[in-house]
Amino acid sequence: MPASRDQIEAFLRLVGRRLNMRRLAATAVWAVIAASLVLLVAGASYIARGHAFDLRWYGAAALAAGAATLLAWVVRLARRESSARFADRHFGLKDALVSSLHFARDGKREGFYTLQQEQTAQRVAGLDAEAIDWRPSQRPLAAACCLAVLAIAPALPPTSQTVLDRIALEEQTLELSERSNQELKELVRELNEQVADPLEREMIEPDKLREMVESLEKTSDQKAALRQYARLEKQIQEQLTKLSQRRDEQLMSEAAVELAKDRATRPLAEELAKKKYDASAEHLEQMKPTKTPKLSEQQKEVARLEAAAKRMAAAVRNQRGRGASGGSSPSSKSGESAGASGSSSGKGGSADGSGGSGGGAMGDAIEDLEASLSKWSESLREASRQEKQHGKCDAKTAGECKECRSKSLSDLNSLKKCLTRMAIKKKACDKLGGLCKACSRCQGGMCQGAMCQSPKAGGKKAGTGSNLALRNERDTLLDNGQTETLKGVKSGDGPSQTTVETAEEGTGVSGRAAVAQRREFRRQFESFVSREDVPEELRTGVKEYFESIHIDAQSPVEESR
Amino acid sequence: MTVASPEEVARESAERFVQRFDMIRTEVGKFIVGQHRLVEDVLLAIVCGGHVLLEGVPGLGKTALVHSFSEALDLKFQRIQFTPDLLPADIVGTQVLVDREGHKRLEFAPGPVFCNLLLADEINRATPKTQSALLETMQEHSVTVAGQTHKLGSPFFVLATQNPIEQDGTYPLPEAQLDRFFFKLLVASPSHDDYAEILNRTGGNHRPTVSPVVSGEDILEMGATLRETPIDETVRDYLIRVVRATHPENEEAPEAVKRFVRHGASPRGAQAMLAASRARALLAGRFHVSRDDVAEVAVPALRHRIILGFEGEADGVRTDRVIRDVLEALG
Repeated sequence: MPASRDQIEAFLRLVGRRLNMRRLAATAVWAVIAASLVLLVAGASYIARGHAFDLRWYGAAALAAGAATLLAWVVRLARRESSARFADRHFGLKDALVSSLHFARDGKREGFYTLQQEQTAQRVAGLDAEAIDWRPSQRPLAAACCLAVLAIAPALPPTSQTVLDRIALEEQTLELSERSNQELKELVRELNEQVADPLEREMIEPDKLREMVESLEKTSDQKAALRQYARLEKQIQEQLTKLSQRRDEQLMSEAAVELAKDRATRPLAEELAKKKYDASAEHLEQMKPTKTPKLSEQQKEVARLEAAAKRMAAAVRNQRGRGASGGSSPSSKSGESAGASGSSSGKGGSADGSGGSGGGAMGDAIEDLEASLSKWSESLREASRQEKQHGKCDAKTAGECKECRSKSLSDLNSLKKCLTRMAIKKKACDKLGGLCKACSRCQGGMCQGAMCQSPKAGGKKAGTGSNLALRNERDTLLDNGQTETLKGVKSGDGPSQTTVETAEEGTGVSGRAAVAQRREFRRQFESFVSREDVPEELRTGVKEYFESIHIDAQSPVEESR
Repeated sequence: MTVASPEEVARESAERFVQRFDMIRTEVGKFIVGQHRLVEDVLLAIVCGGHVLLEGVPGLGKTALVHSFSEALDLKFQRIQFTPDLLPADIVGTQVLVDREGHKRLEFAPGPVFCNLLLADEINRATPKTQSALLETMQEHSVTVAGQTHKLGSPFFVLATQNPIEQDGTYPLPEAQLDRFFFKLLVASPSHDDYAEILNRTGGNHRPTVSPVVSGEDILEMGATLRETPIDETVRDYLIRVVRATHPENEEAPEAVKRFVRHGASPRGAQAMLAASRARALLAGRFHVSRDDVAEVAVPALRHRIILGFEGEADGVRTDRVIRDVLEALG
């Protein structure tokens, strides 16, 4: 009995060993299949994205397959019972081994049980456990080999040129954005150091600028980079818009034209024409009448200043006259000053360009100065007359002269202050403009360095990219200081926008579409002519050109009439 | 005098079992041509102490087979030809008035069931009442008449035959009572060579004779031997799973069972399978039962115990096919 038991146990051990080898091989084959499939899927994903396959996948797949094989093998390690079941099936023992194992385990001995044990031992004695084929099945093995060979394929294609270009573009964008950010930070730092005047600091707000610049991020996304520079530029532009003093500058340039007509005020005119408002203020200070006891001297000084003030006031009146004729609000002084309060305060909304009337605080100051100087001049003349008649002027006239002098000097100071303020604003605008240009430069550099080099840069071919719908919107007609403006015809001769045209009987072709087209064309050329980027010297020519082609091509409706 | 070891005793009894089985088979084979599997299955049922229902068209030798067995086995043999007018008393016996030395008294006159081997020929021709009397006798191995119980001889086997094609004037056996038969065996038509041999053996003046080779005691001993044959728990579990899988509500049941079967096999079917598979194991020279033994006896042991549903009947499904599906499903 023990001998047969030992014989069965020995046989089962051998079977178990072969079975474990077989299971290990089978598990390895399936692990290779699984790993190859994973590699193929991953490789396909890489290839689809145009990337070269990362070779580390092979190492990872091999490790994972090895670990999975080992784990699965340990889990499925053959025990005695499974070996017995396998041997029964494999050698056709008709459950002899399993029965024998169970009988022994349950302690069933003697009689038929012993006979069964001996019979089983006899049967296994003639069997060779080594005959159990441990090699895996042919089909999975062939599949594993094929898949393993196929799994090498993803490693062959290199990274596509498109992906390489994109990576290069991203790297370049990253580098450019970093450099641009640094450049802008440097500019803001320099700006901060340069701005010493408190008023100028208030206008420029360098701390806000620094915050904006520091919020810029280095990025490899070209669009994001462009977007952030455009955002920064827009913010600076908004700040610039707040500081805009175009109307005052225009006034000063007109005043310069007027002042240039007189030889005595020509230096002041030159300074104003060159927009040297600081120097102009200094010049006005020099023109300030001295406190000389001689009336004749005073009269001369006041007359010189009055002449200058009159010329400047003429410019103011000219501007206001244009504003009134431009169809905007009447040139009431209060309205103008209200409209131009922004320019004098330097803050709080749009400075100028929004209102139709001209002048503003600057104009008021000039007119006040003119009025006060005129009054002063008159009182001086009266004092001179009294001095010639009576040897001296009376106290009343002397008081008036004094009062007029102080009023004039006060008005002169206001004008000087306005000019000084303009000078500061101009400086601030120049600096912000520089920063704005730097932003544009950054954007341009980003495009030039990256996007334009891309072989697949977007856009249409040259000459085909114009958008005809661009000019459909009517431009807002701004009073940009140009003297020539187009005015509507009130005679009723112009084409109506709401004419209902009845088609004639018959099979004729309606010309309504063409008429509408011509109206649109007229609107377009009118708005085009009024654009400020059309040079003044060419404006008349452009207008005539459009009008001529408009007249040449009469509408069918008009022709029929 | 040396005392035999249990192993020697077991070996001898197993060898005797096989030897006797072969002897009976050989003896019956002298008259019955071919039908080896049928002869073996009938003999299996006999040694396992079960009754057999033989089904086949007339003339295939069903009655001759049973006759041969009765001759080969040294047992008291009786034959009942079932007819519609047969009464239960005709088969179990009745009280008769007899005159014993001037004294008249009722005595029990035993019917033909008082034997060891009973041939119930064309059992489906008897009325249900008569069929029930026989089936009860098969189950109880005793007869009760006028309040007195009379034990039947031991061993007691019923070999019943029925004709499946001629259904007019017949009373098909109740499905529930079919369970009392150990095996239901289908008698197939002989092959060409078998026909020739049958004609040779029966057409001349010298008909082969079958001699008794084993006694009733031998049969009982054979039954005792096979009941000692070991069966492993996994094989036993397999047997139980097979029987349970014939029930449509069982989760292991194949689609055919779930679709066509109304009622599955009973525990009595499992007992029959166990006994028959043990006998098969011994006949195969093994001392343990294997799954193959179980699978081999599943069809004759279960085919009359599975009741088909309406769909199965309508589709002409055979229970043999269903059982094979079950065996395939369980591997």
